[in-house]
Amino acid sequence: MGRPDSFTDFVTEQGRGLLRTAWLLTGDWAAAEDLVQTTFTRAWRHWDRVGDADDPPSYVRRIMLNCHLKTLRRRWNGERPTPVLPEVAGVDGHAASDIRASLETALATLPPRQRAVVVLRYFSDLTEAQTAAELGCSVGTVKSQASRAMATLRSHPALAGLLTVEATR
Amino acid sequence: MTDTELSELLHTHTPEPPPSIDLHGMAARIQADADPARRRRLIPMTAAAAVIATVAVAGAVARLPGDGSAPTATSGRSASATHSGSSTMASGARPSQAQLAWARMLVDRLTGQTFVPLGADWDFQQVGAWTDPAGSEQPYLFALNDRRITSRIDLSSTPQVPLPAPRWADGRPVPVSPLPLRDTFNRLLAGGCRGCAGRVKLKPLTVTGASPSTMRVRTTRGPAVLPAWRFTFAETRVQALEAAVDVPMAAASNSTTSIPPMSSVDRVTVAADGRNLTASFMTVPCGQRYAGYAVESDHAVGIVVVASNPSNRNCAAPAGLSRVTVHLAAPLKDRVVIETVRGSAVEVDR
Repeated sequence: MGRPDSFTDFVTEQGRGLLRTAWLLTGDWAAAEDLVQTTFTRAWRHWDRVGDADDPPSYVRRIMLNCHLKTLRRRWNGERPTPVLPEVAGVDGHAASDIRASLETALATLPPRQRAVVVLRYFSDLTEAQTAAELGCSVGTVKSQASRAMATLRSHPALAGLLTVEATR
Repeated sequence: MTDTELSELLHTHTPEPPPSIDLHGMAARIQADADPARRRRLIPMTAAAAVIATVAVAGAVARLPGDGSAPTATSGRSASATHSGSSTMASGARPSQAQLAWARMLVDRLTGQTFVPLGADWDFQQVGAWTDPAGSEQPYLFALNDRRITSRIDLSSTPQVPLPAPRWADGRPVPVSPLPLRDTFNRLLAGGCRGCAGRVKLKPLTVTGASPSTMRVRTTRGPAVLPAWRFTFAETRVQALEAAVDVPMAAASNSTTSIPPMSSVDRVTVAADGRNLTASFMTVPCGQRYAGYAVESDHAVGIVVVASNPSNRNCAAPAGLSRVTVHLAAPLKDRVVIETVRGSAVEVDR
């Protein structure tokens, strides 16, 4: 690592996976793109350090989690400007049948760190110890956060009412 | 719900990033912004660019042969061109008659349209990820991209739950008609990229299910939620989501093979005066100079980007972001801006 072309290769190879993780964390492609761009900008500033890491993708994902959680802490009561009025939940009854929309809705109810634990454990398939290392907390904290998150998701009506209408064969 | 079920749900239903997110361009921007040497060079270059741009705008605007033949479009307004931070007058670069005719056709297609999605492939989303994209699933991955798909379900069936009406994010209805399942399947087949698989041997996908769904799309008037059909396949857990609305698709990418190659604009910034547009696009900087031209109608502006000299085929430079500035005959106002390779709408920073 260390050369510009290796950075471009890294961004194009790892970017899609990071974008999907960022989408799960933010629930919004524009925010996910911003988060990934901020992440890669920081990674590029310390590109030698990324190259020296045992697992560069994991190192960069850790940068992304730190950026995300730090931004949320900074903006915990911030106003979020939007170009249009926010959508009113329940206006479109059919949207609830869309699994992705349901997933998005349910994830949005989790506090940021619980949401990060869910994404790392069940999307990035990390172990409890790896998740703890990426979030800089103890394994016990990961276990309790995951347990609370699962309880919230299990009881969420959006996930309980998933609807799939198969066409007639 | 078990841990395994949640994991499966996340893996299957986390969407793929939209094609409008350009990772290659993102890497190029990050490197360019962080390069202190380039920043130092940029200051005098920017000053030079300002001088040259002023001369270009103040100077005679070249009328191209054949201008004005389209009833609603004024075309071929030459402008200053910049590339990789330097500014050059691309005096020899002019679009051909075929390029202008193609651009006029694409601009005229937008007359009277209020619903204009951003990007070329806005109507399709892949749902879920390939587990072995470079191995056993590769023939199916390319089959989906090539739209080599057959159906074993009854496409004339109607859903038990009616498709939702298209609407803007604030709930107002979008004036487009929903499509039934069969027409949506045909729309799915009409997309993709024919012949992009190269030597990969494709294995066709078989549709085994279709469920009504919704799709969020970005448009020139903000986000919208559209009805969509989600197609499942026998061969893979990856699914395809196709918008079920009667809206013209972007022109097929292979349509451009009959005209000289042009660069596709990704993003446009409009100056405070509303008349100068800066269009950015990805290129391989191999000694080419670029010029931008505007093909205008009352409803849309098409940006034509042409190179002044042929590319050096032996050049192996990495792709980078280039920009051209285009001067409009009238302020942009609320007109839609499109790239003129496939005719898709481009996001405008105002």
